[in-house]
Amino acid sequence: MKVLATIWKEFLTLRRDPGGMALIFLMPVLLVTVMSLVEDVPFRDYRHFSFDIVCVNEDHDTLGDYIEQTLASSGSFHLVKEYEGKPLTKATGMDLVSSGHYRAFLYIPAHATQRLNGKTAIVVQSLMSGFGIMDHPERDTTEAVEIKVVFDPVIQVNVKQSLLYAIEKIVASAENKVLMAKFSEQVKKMTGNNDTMPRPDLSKMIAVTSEKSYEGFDELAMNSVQHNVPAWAMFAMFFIVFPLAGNFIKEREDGSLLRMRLIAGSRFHFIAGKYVFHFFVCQVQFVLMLAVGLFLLPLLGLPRLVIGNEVLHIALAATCISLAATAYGMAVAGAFRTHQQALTFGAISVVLLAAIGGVWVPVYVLPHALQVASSISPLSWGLELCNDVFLRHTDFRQMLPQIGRLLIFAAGCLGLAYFLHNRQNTR
Amino acid sequence: MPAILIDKVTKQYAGSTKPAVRDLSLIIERGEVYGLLGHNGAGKSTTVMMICGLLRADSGSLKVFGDDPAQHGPAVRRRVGVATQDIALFPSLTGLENLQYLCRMYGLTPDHNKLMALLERFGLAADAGKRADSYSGGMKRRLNLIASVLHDPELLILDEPTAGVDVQSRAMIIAYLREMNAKGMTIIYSSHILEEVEKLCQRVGFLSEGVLIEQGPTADLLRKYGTDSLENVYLTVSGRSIDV
Repeated sequence: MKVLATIWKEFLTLRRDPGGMALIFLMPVLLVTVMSLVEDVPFRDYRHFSFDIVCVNEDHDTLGDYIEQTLASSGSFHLVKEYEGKPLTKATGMDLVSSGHYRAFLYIPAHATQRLNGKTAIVVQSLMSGFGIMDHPERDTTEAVEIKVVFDPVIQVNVKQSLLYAIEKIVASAENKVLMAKFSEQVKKMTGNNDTMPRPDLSKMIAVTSEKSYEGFDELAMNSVQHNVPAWAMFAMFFIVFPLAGNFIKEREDGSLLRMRLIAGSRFHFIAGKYVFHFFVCQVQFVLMLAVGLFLLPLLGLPRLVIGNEVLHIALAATCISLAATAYGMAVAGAFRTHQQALTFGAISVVLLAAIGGVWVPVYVLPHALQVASSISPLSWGLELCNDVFLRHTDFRQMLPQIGRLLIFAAGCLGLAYFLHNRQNTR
Repeated sequence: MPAILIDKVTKQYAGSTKPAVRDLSLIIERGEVYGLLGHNGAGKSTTVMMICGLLRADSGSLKVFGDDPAQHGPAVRRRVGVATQDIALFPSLTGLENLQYLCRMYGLTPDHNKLMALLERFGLAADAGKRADSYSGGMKRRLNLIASVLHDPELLILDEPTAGVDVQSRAMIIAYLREMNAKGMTIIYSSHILEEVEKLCQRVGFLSEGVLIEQGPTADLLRKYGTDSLENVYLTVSGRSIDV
């Protein structure tokens, strides 16, 4: 009865505080939406990433055309061949990158195909001479084919590496094709067989494939939505420390808490009512954040959040996270005397726990020391629990370690809060 | 059995160099209105907190209606109402909602008619549906007093119940206290306004530096110090200006 009365009192208080409502519900929605949009690009698979490359192909032959066509058909790159209606040259291409108009410039020199053919012929002749079926080749005086890639200094290292890797892969493929063509040409010359020789596809000798670690979803990959929605949901839920501790300390300062202490047997119910109410606030936040991931973000062109099919597991995860977040707020409220102390500590501690907990960037990309540190962050446990339920499709037994950590943390915080609040009662 | 029996109670806060209350002995009879006076930091709040069982005395004994508040805090608090100097209300709730909520916290079922009658008694019925933070200082003070008597306490402790209130509010509060006292309620009254204390309290005690330096029936003290105001008595016994 007293707990319910306090829950109702807290509800009325929140309902009549538009600023508080916005802080608790609207800000997290905005946060998760903006962060998902902002972090969408770094999370994207480069197959779906179109990157402008200034391209000057002075070869105008097989190699240059092959590189151009392969890059263009990959979908990841868009080749810029003209600027302001004029064809590009090596000098203008360099200028466009050095002036920051474009991030990368690909230069394929004149006679690249001719040189590659010449070098390949020597390689083939050298190989065949080893079997004694051809003379030793003359000394190779042909210059190496030099395909230049120039980058804007501001380009991200991972984008640069991806682009270089793509070009190297295309060039290697082109080399293989030319090598095999030359080889079969020589064999035909030697055997007098004019039939078309079969050309083995070297690219299919070793296949590297990826498989899902579970069954159940057709298409799934960690993306901006899949990371940001649970991550910022954790952040928003733990940020309950802000209204909870603020509200608690305000009531302590204006004497309302003293009144509760003066009413026999009401203090525990008062504190329990606050805890339960803010627990439900966290639950609503969690549901709201999931709704954003499921319905709002897809409307903004982002992938839909995948939450799996285990509603009970989702509810259990949300409950454990909410219990931990609210208990943390209770402990902070009990530990500090003033608004300023509690809110400053609460805000900074949540930001720090979020940083090491993998809210901004996934834990696996953090430096080793921070990865170790993340193991003490309840936000990290919560996030892992969400990933377990949403992505890994784990069963209840596999969820237990994270559930255990969160519940122990909640119990520890509640114990601390009880001790701190009790200490104020009888000194 | 007296309402309050305090015998050589001492209380010193951790980190403090001197006791907040020292060797305090005091008896307040049932049905009495007792004025507890003293400057800021004299030990009044500490004494009140010990009476309510929110602070534990270091030594001595303290009984409220025969119970030790440190041992039986909840039982004592059920019989005691405290109107603190701070307006201990919930500002975003209406006046009526505040009282309904506090009734529930006292373990009572809010009786709308009784609450409205109380609000009417203090001239707040018309504003019962307005948020408490929209009330004037006097209205808040009156609501604060109502909030302290919802559980019909036998002992009412009032700390500056008329501070910063208009004449009308003060008259309402004093009249109500007289009425309650006439019905048998014991009242401990602390105020800066010594004229009020003089009119309302049958006995007064002066605390200074945690020590009860003088106490007695109001009329006897006035006679003893040859004056017609408690203010002069206070100035004489404390040797300081009024800074209650």
